[in-house]
Amino acid sequence: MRIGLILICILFSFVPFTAAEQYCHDDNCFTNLDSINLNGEDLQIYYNSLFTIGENWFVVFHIINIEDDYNLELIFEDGNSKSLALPGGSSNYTDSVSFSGSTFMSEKFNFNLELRITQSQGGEIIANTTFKIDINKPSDDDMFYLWGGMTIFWVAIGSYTLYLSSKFRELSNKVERIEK
Amino acid sequence: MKYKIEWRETVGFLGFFLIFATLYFSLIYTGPAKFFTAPNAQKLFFFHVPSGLVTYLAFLMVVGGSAFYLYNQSYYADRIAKCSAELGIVFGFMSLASGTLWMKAEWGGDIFSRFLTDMRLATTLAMWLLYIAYLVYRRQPETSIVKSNAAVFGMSGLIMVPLSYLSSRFLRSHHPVIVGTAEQDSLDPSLRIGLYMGILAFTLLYFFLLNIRMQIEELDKIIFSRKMGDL
Repeated sequence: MRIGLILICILFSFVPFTAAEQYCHDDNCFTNLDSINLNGEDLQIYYNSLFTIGENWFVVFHIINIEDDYNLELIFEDGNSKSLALPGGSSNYTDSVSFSGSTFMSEKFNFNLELRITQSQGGEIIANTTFKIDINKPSDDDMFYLWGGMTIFWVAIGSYTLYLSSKFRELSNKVERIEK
Repeated sequence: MKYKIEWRETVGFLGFFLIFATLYFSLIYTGPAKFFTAPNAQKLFFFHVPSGLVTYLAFLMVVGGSAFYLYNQSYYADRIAKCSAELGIVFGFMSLASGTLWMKAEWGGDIFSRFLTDMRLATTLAMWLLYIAYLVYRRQPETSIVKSNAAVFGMSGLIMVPLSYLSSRFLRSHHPVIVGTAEQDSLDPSLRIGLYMGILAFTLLYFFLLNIRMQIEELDKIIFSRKMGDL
C-alpha cells in the first residue's frame, strides 16, 4: 500500500507545478488596439500582434452602443476562420474570439488576418480590415516534458520491479527458514 | 523450495528488450514528429498509449477475477484480482503522469482545470483512485467476507473501464481518439510500428510482473499457514 500512497503523492505533486494560469482578457494585456466605425460607433478591437504557437490567442471586441445585428468573421490567410455575432440593441458590449494554440504548426511572419463585418440580414459587407500578425514557434522547451515523462516510466517500472524482487527474495528466504 | 520461472524470465526479458527497442525507435529512429505543437514531447505517445491500454487490461483482469471469485470462491481468481489491481495502479500512474506532461507541452493552459473538465482525464483519474481505494480495502485480514466485498468493489471496473475508454468518443473531451476511426488508417506507418511494439512490450511486462506478484502472494500464504500451524 505504501507504493499506492507514494504514487498518489507524486501525482498530486504535479498540481502546484501545473500553476493555474488564467488567460487575460483585460485591455492592457493586448499589444494592439484598432477600431472600425459602425454607424457612428467605434468598434474597438484588441489583439496581440504575436501569436505564440501552443498558447491560445484572443481577439477582444468592445463597443459602447450597437443598434443593428452584425456578424464578425476573422479569416486567416490560410483559410482558418472564426465568427462572432454582435447582437443589436446592446450597450457597452464586449465579446471575444479565441484561436487554440495548435491552430498553427510553423512560424509565419506578416501573416494576414482579415476582419470582415457583415450585416446579419442580407449578409452585406459593412466593413473589412486586415491585420498583420507574426506567428512564433517557441524554443524546444518541450524536451523538458519529454524527459520528465520518460523519467516517470523508468522510475515507476524500475522501482516497482525492485520492490517485487526484494519482497520475493525476502519471502523465499523466510519460507526456506521455516521449512528447515 | 523450487519455482519454475523459465517462461517468466523469457517473458520478462522480451518485455524489457522490447521497451528498449521502442525507446530506440521513438527517440532515435524517428525524428521529431510533424503536425504537433510539441514535436519532442510527442515521443511520449509510444509509452503513454501502451501504459494506458495495459491499465485497462489490468483493471479488466480485476473485474474478471472478481466475477470468477463471486461465482465459485476461487482463491486463484481472487489473487489475480488483487495483484492485477496493484499493477493497474502502477501502469495507470505512468499513463496519467506522462499524459499530464505531454498535455502540458502540447495543449498548454491550466492542467488542473483540464482534469476537471475533460471527461477522459476525469474518468481515468476517478478509475485510478477507485482502485487505490480497492487496495486500501484489501489491506485488512482476508476473511471470506472481505474477499467477497472486495470482489463486488472490483467489479466496478465493469463500468469504470468502458466509461474511461469511451469518454473521449461520447463525452466532452479533447483527448484524441484513434482506434476505430478514420485516423487509424491514416496513422503514419512509423507511428504504428512503434505503437505496436510498445503495446507488446508493456503487455509482456505486465504478465511478467503479475506472475512475480502472484508468487509473492503465494509465499505470503505459505508463511501465514505455517505460522498458524505452529500456534
